[in-house]
Amino acid sequence: MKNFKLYIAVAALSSGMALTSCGDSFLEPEPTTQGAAGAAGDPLNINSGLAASYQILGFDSYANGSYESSVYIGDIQSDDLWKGGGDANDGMNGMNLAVSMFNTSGNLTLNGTWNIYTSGITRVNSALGLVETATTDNPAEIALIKKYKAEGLFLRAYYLYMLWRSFGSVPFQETLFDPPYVCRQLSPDEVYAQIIKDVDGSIENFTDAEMNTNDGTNNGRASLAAAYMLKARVVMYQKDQARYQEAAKGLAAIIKSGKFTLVSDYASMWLQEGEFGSESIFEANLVPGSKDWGTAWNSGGTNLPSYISPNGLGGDPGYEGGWGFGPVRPETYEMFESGDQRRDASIRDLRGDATGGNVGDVNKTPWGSSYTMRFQDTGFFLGKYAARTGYHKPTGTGDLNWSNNLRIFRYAETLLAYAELTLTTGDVDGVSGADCLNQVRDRAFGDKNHHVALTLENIQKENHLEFVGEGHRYYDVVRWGITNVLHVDNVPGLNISRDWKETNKYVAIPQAEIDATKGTEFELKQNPGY
Amino acid sequence: MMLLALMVTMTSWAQGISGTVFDDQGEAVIGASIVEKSNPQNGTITDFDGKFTINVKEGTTIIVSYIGYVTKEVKAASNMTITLKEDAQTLQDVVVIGYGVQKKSVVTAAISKVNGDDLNLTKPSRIEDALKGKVSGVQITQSSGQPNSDSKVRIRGIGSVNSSDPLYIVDGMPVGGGINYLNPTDIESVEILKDAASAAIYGSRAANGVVLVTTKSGKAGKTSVNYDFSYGWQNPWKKKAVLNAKEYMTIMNEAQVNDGNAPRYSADFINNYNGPDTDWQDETFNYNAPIMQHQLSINGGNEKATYFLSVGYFKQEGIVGGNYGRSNYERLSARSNSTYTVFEDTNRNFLNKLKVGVNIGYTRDTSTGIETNSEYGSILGSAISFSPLIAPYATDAEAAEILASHPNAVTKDGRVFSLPPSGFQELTNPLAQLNRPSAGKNNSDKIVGSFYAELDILPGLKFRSTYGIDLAFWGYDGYGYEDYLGTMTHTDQSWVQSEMNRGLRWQTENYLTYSKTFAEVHNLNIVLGQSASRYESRNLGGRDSQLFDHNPIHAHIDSAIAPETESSVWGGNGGVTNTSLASYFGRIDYNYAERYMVQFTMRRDGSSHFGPNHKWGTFPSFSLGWNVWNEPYMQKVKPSWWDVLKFRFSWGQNGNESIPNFTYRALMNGGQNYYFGGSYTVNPDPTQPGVEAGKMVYGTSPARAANPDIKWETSTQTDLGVDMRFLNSRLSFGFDYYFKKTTDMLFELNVPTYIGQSKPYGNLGTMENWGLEFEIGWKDNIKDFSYWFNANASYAKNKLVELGNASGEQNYESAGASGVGDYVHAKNGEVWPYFYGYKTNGLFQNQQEVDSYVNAQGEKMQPSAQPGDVRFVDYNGDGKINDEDRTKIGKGMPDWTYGFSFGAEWKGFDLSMAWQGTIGNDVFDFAQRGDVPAMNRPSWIMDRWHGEGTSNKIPRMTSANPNGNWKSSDIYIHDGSYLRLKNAQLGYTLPAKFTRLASIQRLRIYVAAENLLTITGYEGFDPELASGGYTTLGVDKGIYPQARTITVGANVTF
Repeated sequence: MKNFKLYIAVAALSSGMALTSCGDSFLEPEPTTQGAAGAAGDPLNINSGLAASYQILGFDSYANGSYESSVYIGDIQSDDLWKGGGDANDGMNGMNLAVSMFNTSGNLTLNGTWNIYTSGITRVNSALGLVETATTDNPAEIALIKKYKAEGLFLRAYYLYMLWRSFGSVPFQETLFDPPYVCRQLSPDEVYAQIIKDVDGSIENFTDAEMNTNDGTNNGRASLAAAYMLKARVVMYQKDQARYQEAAKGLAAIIKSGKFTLVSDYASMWLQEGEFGSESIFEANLVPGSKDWGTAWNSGGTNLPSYISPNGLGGDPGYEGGWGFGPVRPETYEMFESGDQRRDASIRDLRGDATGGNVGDVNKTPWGSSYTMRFQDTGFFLGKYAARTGYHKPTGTGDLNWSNNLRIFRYAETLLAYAELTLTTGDVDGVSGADCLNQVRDRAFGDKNHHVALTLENIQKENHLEFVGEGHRYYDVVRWGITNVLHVDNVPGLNISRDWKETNKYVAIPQAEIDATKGTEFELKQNPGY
Repeated sequence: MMLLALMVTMTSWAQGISGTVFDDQGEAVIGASIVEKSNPQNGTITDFDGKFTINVKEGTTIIVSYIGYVTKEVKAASNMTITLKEDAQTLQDVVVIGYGVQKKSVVTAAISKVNGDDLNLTKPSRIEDALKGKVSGVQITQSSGQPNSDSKVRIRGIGSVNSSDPLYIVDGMPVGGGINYLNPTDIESVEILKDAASAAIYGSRAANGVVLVTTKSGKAGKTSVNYDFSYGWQNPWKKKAVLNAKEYMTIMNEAQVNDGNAPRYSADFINNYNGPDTDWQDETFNYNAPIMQHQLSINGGNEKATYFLSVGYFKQEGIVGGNYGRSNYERLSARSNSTYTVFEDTNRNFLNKLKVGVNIGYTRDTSTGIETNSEYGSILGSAISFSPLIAPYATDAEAAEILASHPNAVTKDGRVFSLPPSGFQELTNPLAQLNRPSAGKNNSDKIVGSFYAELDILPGLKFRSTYGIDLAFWGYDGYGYEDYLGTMTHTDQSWVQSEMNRGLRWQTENYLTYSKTFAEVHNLNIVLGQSASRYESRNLGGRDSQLFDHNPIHAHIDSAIAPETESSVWGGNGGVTNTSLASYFGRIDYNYAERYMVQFTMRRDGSSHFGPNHKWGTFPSFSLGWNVWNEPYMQKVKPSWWDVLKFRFSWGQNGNESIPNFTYRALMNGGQNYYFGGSYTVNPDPTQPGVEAGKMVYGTSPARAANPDIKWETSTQTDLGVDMRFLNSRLSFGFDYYFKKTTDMLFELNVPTYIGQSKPYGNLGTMENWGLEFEIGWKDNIKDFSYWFNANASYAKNKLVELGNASGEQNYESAGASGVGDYVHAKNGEVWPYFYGYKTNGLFQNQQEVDSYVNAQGEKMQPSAQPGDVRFVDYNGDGKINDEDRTKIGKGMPDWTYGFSFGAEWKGFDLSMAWQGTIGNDVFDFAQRGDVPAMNRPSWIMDRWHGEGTSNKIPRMTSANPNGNWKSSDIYIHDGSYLRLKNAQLGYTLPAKFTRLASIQRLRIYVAAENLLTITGYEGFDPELASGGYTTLGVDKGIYPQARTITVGANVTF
């Protein structure tokens, strides 16, 4: 009996050993939240790749943990805005200040812009890689994939443009990275050539029917019009007169298509109801989501309204407070003629009893609203993307999740850019440049009594008036070469003085990126002057 | 080792000598062996009352022995009473090593042992805390003073930039998430395997050392019941000196004036000020926070079965927020350890015994916690930076105004808490924070059990099979109602959140051990076995909004009434189906007459963390030892007062596999979605969802770049040690030198970010640590007075040899908003990590000094500086002050950690003290936030520069700060060395003759103090700082300090 028990015990122990002997299959777990890379392309996964590529558009203001909204960053370099914020160094530890004073360095530069848009290019490259591997005989699918390719090329050109205008020389390749994970840095002219190549490829793959995609289901997707717009903007920034004719032709095609019209109530364009309106050619569709301070690369809305709204705002129905960055200079407010509806839509006048006083003081407006003055306060704040009540959910991190879409290309720009090009090319395809300029003025004043002549000076002025707070001004000033307007003498209390040199066209390339390529075949070179 | 194995023939019971055996506590010794010296065949054992009868004549020499007691020879006499003395030496002479035990005299590796009794002296809430200062080579830093806060345990330096946490093995079972679930009083001993040779048996997980915990087991004999109780009062041991109202106004004015602005407060106002002058720390601290525990254990058994049962209850209120239920800890634990001899046949010597056992522990704990070390509005962080001009509560007039514009302002008993003045950013009234209508509670249930069976196959040959589980359930439940604390801190909609997690690790091991002595001098011990383990987890959580009323009873996830689209759920299995480890291991131990010792260990591990190219790794080690005085030819030279001289040498390799999953596979990241078609419209009516006219398209993009050749980190360690004992083993001394080199350190490759996907991991880095460890002990008694003294000291030097990137540098901590910039950094050739910033050279006393601070070209180095600003050193000598001048300015890791303790006993009184300290560590005192100019400052700011010659250290007040005075520099660095009286205790054991009357064997009462005294030059709350990741070691952002605790308690044994 005793022995019998013993044998059972021995048998049990040995079976325990047998059960646990194991091979490598025991050691091969599967990921539960990620798919494997390297699938063949089909419309579904190409569209997924494109969605991730479009998502980059929503990263403008906070992804990477950096406050680098293209609107704000563009305009603090211009003659429209001061830096603002809590104190001189507030805003990425002095980065905002360095940018606004043309004083960037390898360690204090637009890291976010660099990281966000290079990621965008990689995402597009992945999606376009899927386009290359797609094999389908279905004509509907072939057409769809062609459209996806056009969108992908547009996005790549747009992201490259965002890098190019800030950094000039950008490392770029059309494929995903393999070891040793570096690629050649293109010169600014080479980047320009690549953008033109991609945007031309995009135009080629779009059909005429895709001129305007604001059809309700495709809102937010790139369109033929967006590609023409990008091409014109890039060609004009490069001052590549050889392409002015093509560029003007593209814009003329948009105008002649009749798919876009100016919105008569300028202010309404910036409201929720105005999103994807008749004037909208391309905008980033921002949807409040799970973006939070620690999860900057999550999907979500924008931070811009919080960033540029007055601090601790109270008693101002319809508006919420923010962080007080980007106060508008009084000169910008004052440049508008009376009757120009764009002034009050672009700039909020909150001047009150203490404007220009001490940081930390409370400023009360005549109608009883109040806010706390911060660095470089002027009493004027940006209006288009102002923090409006009800524009973010009551839950989640509201400051990072505003629902305001970012308007990237508007039809007004089509008209003004076309008008400007015709100064060189003359009217193209029967579209009158002078008429385009005056369409914009007619809308601004709500009458036809404010026409001006088609001159470069008038076009420059009109662009300035039309796009306050949209991140255009600085790049326009640079391409027009009127950079003397960027000069700022040291004004007491503002703690800013600056001058623009040709080398300031580009900011410094992040030093960490240069360090990471040291000793490789493709060492990144810092921009001249840094 | 069991006495019961020594079965003796029993002869006549009828006549002979009878007697009783007691121990030195006066308790009967059950199962003691009594044999006739001249005829060992004649013997017996004591019964349950300690009584025996042996058939010998009076005057015959008999030998009385029992394990753990000094064997005694006595002359037989009728009705004799024999008292056996406990042999402390024997108890400590065995150390637990992986898969076995070893006599300390033949140990060749570097293993430190702490007995449970030493740990429990302090009644710690966590074992790591009690280990602090007890062993050399182990640096333990408590994260913060929050109840149940964890500790950073580093064995022999920082082994890696990745996880440097040791492997914890409890009764053979590896446990995740630390060992805080253990009831410290259940612990028999803790062994720390420090060198590669001892840890190698745990292979790919052992690179950072192994902590082996053995829980108590039952002892055959009379049932013993123990009850412990203690109750304590905790208080902060210091406040941080900050400005009072008048000082605050002076300093704020000075900043205004220095920046060219009008002063904020007039001189009249300051002089006649009689408004609030709030000491926010007084308002915030929870004085006399209670801490209490009850412990009950039952222990007993017979020759066939033994058991140890215990239940424990522990409850602690935190000294910050504990009185508001925000920083509390409660633990209930139960344990059952038992062994059974299922089968035993003494008539043969093969397959003759089968023993089974189970050690199982269950712990339930609940905790609440607050942010412990943050510049962004933690409670204590706010208390030291909030304006003293603000009263905790608003005046009636202010209250009406606050409620009018912010109906959700926080109130208590109808009174409204003051709001922060403008410009305080995230910083809010700390009392309002404590009174927010919100709560969040963590819960955890954990069962760790191991079941084993051990079969004696042949003499010396045993087979053991074990199956263990670590099953943990943990979760969180929280809610919050609408509130308003400030412009940046408010809840606009009530919310509720719940999370549930489950993790299961199982492990099965089978191994043979063979232990045999040949020809009396050749001692051989072999272990050979196999192990497999797997971990799986899953979790589910949800968050919803709009609770249907304001009654916290209803604050559950099913009580939220928001539309479906407003709720969120998450969950999964942590991104991986499981993680697994399969292993084979073996060890050969041999010693020749305890003179020469040699040990070989080898483990081969296959890990799911690695791809097919490097799935398996082999980790070898060997060690050698020489007991010099055991040599016969040494006997002539051996001094009589020198008992032991042992040299040890070991070499080995261990691995570190605690790296992310799937670094070897190219995967796609999902969830990068975008909406097409229609814009999103937020509905301002919170009861209705927003309108999503568009359609979400699921987005995917390439995830982290893959590296199929990824493998484990390897640490190679050499150890040289000496053990000595003198004066009948009263004095002991130990010394170790080690050199540890970690290679193939896993690192995110520093490829450019422009690759647009997460950077790949690679085996690149190299880290070195070397150190010295000293342990010394003395133990003696003079008649009734017994006393002991132990001390240890460890020196550790860490060097990051190679980061593996081109620049050889990496930044870890940055504070952008506060104007500090990068402040924790690493660089090849330096200690990892270190504090980073500018070196300074005093302050500019006047404009002339600013003007004359020029480079070789005569250009001003700091053109925007003004008198009173910091003069930064042009460290790289390039004639410019810029980011390139930043360098190492300090480090959080100490050079020396040490501890010493002593104790004494006299006629029932006992006294003990344990001190513990560090030397050579710095604190980075994060006392400034550039973006909150109005924040309160530490009192030392009164010594700022305010005119030529007033200070050469603390710069002038300025908010504009054109010189960047408060960017990271050595003015933030303070010496963090400290010496702390960790524990002091005075106890009294009542004489047994009195307590017996109440059926109590032993009754001890005591009073104890923890952190009674801290000697440090640092002026902050606590020089011991390790909250957050390892890279924030020594960074003080207003740390939640450890409490000073006074405890009274009693131990009762029935």
